[in-house]
Amino acid sequence: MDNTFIIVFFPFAAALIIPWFAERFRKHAAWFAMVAPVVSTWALFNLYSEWAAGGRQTFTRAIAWVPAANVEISFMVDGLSLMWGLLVAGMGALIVLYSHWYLHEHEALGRYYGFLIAFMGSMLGVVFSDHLISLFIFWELTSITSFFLIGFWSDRDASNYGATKAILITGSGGLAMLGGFLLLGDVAGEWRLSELVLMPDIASQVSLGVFLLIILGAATKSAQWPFHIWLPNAMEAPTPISAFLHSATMVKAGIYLLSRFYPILGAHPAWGYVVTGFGMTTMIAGGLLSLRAYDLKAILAYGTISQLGLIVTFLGYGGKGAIIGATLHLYNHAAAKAAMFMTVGIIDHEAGTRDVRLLGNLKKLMPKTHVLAVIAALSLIGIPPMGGFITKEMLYEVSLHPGGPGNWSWFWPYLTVFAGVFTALYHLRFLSEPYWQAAEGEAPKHPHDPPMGMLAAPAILVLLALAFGLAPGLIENAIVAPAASATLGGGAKVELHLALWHGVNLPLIMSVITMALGLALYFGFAHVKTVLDACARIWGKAPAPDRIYDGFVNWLRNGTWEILLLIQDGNLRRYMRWMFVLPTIAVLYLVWRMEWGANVFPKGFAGASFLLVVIALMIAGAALATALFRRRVPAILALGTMGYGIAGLFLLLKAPDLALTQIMVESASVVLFLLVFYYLPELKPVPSSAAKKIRDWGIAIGLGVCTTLVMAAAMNTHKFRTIADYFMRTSKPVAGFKNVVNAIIVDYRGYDTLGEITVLVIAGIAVYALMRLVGEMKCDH
Amino acid sequence: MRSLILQTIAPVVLHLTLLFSMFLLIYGHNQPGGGFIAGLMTAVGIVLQWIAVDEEEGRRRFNWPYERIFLAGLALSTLTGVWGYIKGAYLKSSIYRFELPFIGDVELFTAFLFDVGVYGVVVGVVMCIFTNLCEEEAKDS
Repeated sequence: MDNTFIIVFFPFAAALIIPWFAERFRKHAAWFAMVAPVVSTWALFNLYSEWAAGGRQTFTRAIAWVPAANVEISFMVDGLSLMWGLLVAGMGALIVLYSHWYLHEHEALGRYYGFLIAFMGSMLGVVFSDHLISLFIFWELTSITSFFLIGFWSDRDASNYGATKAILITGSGGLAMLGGFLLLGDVAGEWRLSELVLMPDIASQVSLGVFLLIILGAATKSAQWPFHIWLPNAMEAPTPISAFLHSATMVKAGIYLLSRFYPILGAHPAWGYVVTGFGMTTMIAGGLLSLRAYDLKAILAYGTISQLGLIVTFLGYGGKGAIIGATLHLYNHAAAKAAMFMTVGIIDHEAGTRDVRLLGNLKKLMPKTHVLAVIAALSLIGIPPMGGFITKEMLYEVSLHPGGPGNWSWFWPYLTVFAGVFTALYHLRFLSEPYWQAAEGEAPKHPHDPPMGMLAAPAILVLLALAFGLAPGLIENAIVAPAASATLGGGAKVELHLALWHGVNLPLIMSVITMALGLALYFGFAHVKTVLDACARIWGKAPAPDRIYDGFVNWLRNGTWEILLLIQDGNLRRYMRWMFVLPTIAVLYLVWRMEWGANVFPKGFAGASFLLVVIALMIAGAALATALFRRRVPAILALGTMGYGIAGLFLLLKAPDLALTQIMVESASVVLFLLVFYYLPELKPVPSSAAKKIRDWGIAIGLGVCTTLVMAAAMNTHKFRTIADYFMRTSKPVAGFKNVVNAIIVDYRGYDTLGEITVLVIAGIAVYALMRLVGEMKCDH
Repeated sequence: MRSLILQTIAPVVLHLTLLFSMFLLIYGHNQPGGGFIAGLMTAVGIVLQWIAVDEEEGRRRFNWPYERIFLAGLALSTLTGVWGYIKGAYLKSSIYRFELPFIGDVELFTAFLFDVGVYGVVVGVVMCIFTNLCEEEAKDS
């Protein structure tokens, strides 16, 4: 089996069986789940050496999926997908390790690990997909699995709200992206990303609408303003999930999409403006919101939104330096932010709250956790010797060179410093309020350091951030440079020589200014807060995205309900009337349009035997009797007689299969009818006016006439050659069946049958649920 | 609803219908029959028996997990399709011929397994509806 397929599909296969093991061996559930990320990582290393041995050339691997429609599953291996793959799989392993200590033994471990691993598989699928459609499918799978992970504690309303919000926003963004993909594929005549990146002038052929649709997918997934609103609510998820999905991987899928499409759409005239526009707005909005939050996870969530905005800004800015800087920052942010989320999870676990007002002095109470949090936060702020310092300097340097959309190059250094000050401010607040300052209230539990195992995962991440700062040579040209090169496209050569110390230059001075401003604002935070609160009061009157979302969802829910009541008012007679009138109108329209004249009807009834006529009359009589009987039991029996009569007709017309089925269906439905009959009210003649009677007769006769017309037309129009000969000839050799009817059911039209039995199963489940539900409701009252 | 005649003949009829439904299922590929008809016949046979004996007795004897039966049926049919997919196209039927001692040539079709799945779904759904309706009735009375 090829490595790419192991990487992507092994997690899915594992996700199917992990729940079983996890539920049985609850104490060791995490170790079973750990197999999947470990195997994927191992396959990734194999793939990496394969790719390195092949001269680091992009290659694809494909297997046929639907050969008849020429659709295949194909995976693309290049620097970008490998970097992302290592990020996702490696982080997956750490998250599982951390979850082992985070989750309690009595929780739904099977569900948790199953969806976690399935999510990891989907995410790996996203980054390795070559075909646009399979990219979309894996993309939506990440939304679906994240829905279950966010809503893991499904007994909490806030979890359900957060999960629904996330799937509605990212899901609709995904659909917009699908629209963009379909149009792009149509315009380019090519669906594989590995080919699309080689088409030089594709960006100029793509219209603004297509471009925006694809960007919309990225913007919703990466929580760009105004779609950022789902991320804070998604913080209801267990903390390891937040660390995995909402800091390291899923929210970065949008970044991945932008990186992947940079060589394809980067030359589009709107790229710079739209992407940097999203990025800058998000960066500022996220930063401001983070400063006003009190929940530690919300502080981090808004901080993440802000950092994503920064990365998106630089992807929009474009050019070699910006792409390298964005890639570096992405890597660094993933490690540091996930570590910070994990420390928050530890606080939540040990203190029982995440409210910074209730927490204080944790520096003394949880010294080990404190150290990890400080290093991770300082890395993101960009303090040497952490990795964050290198990426920060890199971004400063990029901003000094002319670039980006329009003639705004004077503006970028200021913006980048502004972003740096923001980053410093909310991360200092993240450290000071729980760790350094005294608490305003009292935490539910007395906090202390967790067991060493729980500290292991964040410690590894923090070490990575440190190692990256001290020895950037470890990954700069092995992992980051190829990813940046793939993002730039066109076989761009990227070679990095990163180091902490570059001598005294402009970026260093900018760093110093950033630190000074950040510290100044931090010590004067009380004033900052006053200003922010004043702004919030003014802003509070404007329609915030959150309120628009809530309003829209409520409108949709109420509107649907109203439409439903309009159509389904519970009156069975009215339903029947609609069901009869609409087809009648449709057939009459056809008769009029297609000029069905008298030639539809057979010229004579010479073929009809005496017996046939007798049975036909019997059926007609039984039908009339069904309608005229005043009591239910005789009516049901008359209906049964009609059915058996039809079975007789089938027999006479030499269709034994149909006849047998008809008899069986009739027997079963008479019995079921008699059972249901118990629930029906007494059959009372409904008093109705003459006008209503005429109307009902009209409907009945109209439907009868139309059905007859359709039957006659079906018998007498020979527009197509019959396919019967083909079936008769091939049923034995192809399907192995002599009985052609059955061969059609199970082989030629096997899909139809599969669909039908699925419907049958759904009906069965519905009846089951309905009866159980009714039973429970009766017990309640 | 107790009738002596029905009670006497129902067990005999049950065995006959079950036997005949098996015959329909297995011979469906060459003669009239097939999973759908066979499933209905099995279900009707059980229902008849259920009605003949009284409520308690019926539940005691035929209290099978019908929900699982129809789900298993659907799973079998779907998986048969997957087997066909490995062989070329989803739901493509494959034919296998064996020679067994004493019995002689045996042909096995994956389409037959698909049909068995259909059988399971039909029996399961009809019986699920029936037992749920019966239960409701028993609860009310």
